[in-house]
Amino acid sequence: MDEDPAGEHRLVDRARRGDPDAWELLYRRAYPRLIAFARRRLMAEEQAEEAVSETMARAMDAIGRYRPGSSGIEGWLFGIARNVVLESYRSSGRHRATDPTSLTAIAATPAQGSPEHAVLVTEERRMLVTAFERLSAADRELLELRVLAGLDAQQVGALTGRRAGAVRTAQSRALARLRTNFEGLMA
Amino acid sequence: MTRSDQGPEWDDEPAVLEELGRALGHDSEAEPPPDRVAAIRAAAVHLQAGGLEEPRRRPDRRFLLAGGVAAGVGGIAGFLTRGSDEQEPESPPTEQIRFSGDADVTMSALINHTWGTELLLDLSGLMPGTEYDVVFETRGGTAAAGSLLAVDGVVMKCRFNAAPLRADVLAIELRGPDGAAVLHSTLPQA
Repeated sequence: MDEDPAGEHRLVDRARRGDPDAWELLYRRAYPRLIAFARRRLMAEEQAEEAVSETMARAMDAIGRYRPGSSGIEGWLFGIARNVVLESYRSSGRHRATDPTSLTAIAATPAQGSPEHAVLVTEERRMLVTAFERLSAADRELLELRVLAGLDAQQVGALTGRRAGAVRTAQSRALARLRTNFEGLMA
Repeated sequence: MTRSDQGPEWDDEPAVLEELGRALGHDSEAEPPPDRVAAIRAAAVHLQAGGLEEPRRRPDRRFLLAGGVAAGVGGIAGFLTRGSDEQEPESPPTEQIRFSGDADVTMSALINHTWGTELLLDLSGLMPGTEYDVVFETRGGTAAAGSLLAVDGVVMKCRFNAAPLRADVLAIELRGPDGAAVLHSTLPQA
């Protein structure tokens, strides 16, 4: 959420007062990343939408206690979403969307260029997802927080209780392992 | 940054991360469903009603969580109990019913479950921000089946459940805050 601290402060202030426009703005801004994260972790589309709605419900519940920190409002919302998703698949006994059909659907995000190029790019993305799935759970989460949540190292550190430098190092190592997996699949 | 012949440009970390995000399904243009936006706005209004004197007032989750639209408490239960894993008997008897009153009902039906009765109700035209109760009138008295908060501009797809069996339900009413019936359906009896 690209917003200066003063702008975020005003937005949070409006949200605390129950301004529907403020909540809609928060929801719309956070939605692309929250839904991508939830879809990655939950089996069904409806379950993912419910998880995002539950995240917003909890945010409304807790907005009075929100204090601007290093993770920002986006990081705060994402922290709630992590808990919601975790509880969701603990309670339902369902699994992450790792079945081949889900992966195919994800990797089939439309690619630009000629049809031949698009086919190759789609295949490459599918391989990238497969390589990603072969990472450890910790590596996957670190990279998801970066690429899906859009959080920088400092924000991830605030969420996971680590120093920003340690997060950067861990992410670089996770990327190196992703590359190794990917090149192994392409060989 | 994707190069179809060799894979991602691995030395360009931001580009690799961007490509990974796309591969994992991130779409920066993704829009939330309109009915959920409406539900968020309705819940915010209730937060507003709590005001600064009650900053920790809990917003009513039913506005946000009921399977897409602001369905009632019964709606949530209905949604949760109809998950894909449910081993419910196939095709429980469904009965179309008719409501009369001051709202636009586009679909109304009862499902005769072994554990009780479920009302499926798609409607619009209620007073936005107003809470309505659904009541089953039975041979033994009334049974609350849930409630809903009206949202403007969308068809609310609601599900309500109550324990009385279909054979015991004589009528169903949607009641406003003053207890007056806004919708009424007298059910045919076997």
